[in-house]
Amino acid sequence: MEKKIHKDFHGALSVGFEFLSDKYGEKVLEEYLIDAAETIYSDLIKKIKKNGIVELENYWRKIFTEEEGKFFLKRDDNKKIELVVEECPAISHMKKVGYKIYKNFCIQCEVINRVISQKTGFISEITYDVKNGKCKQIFKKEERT
Amino acid sequence: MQADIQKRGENMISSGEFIFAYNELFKFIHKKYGKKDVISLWEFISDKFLTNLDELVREKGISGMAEYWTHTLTEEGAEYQMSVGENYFEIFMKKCPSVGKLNKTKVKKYPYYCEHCKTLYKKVIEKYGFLYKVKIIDKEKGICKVFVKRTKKRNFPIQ
Repeated sequence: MEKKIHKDFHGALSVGFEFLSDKYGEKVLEEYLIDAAETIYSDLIKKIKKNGIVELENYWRKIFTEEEGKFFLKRDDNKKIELVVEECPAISHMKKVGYKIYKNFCIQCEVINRVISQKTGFISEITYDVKNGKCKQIFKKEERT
Repeated sequence: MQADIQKRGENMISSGEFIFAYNELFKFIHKKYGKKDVISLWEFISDKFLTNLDELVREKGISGMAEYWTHTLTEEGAEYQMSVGENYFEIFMKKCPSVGKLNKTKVKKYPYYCEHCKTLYKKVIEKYGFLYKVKIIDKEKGICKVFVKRTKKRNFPIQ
């Protein structure tokens, strides 16, 4: 059965980011994203702690497939995972519909990944291009000295 | 023009995480700055995000409202009844998809969550000569009634 998603929510979220950033500053937006990530991704964090980074792979694959993004995933056992997004479905939808895209929309992935990685013993890295809706996200195992 | 439409959502995904992100956003702003700032956020979203609804109501009036909510509620997988007449528009929400998603988890729902629908849509709709009201019947179960009535005569193109 065909699954439907309401992609317009991306536009509303983008406006929410703009509100926080314009009214209180980007530090407050970041503070909100940390709070939200800890609540929304608590189950994913538990799963990664229990079964490893494969759970992040499953999550990313599910979300980006449902949202019809163009992406590649590469995982090296439980040591490293790399997600390359060629076409971000959120940015692509907002452009298509004509919603205003918050200038640093991708800060959400940066902060959320940071929260998840810190709580699961990984280090996260991200490079992104908001304008073109492209990014590279990496989780790698923290090396213990 | 009169229609009665019943819909029941099945196997739909409505970008569920965004509902949680909104809920957390409302809670975050309320805790830090108070409810008046949450209302400012809803007004901001109404002005900046609901431009598609604004355009539909401006150009088509009640038909535009029906078009907008048929699209969004179908995508969201809501269970509702919509009644459309020449001078009125009603939605009887039997199962609000957002409230339903929040209730399925351990996440604490923002106590004034349902109020965002009052502010968001009222601001857009009332400027085109309509009265917009929401009666929240059961905020825990996600049951409400939206009622729009034409207050000023205005010609919209026949669709």
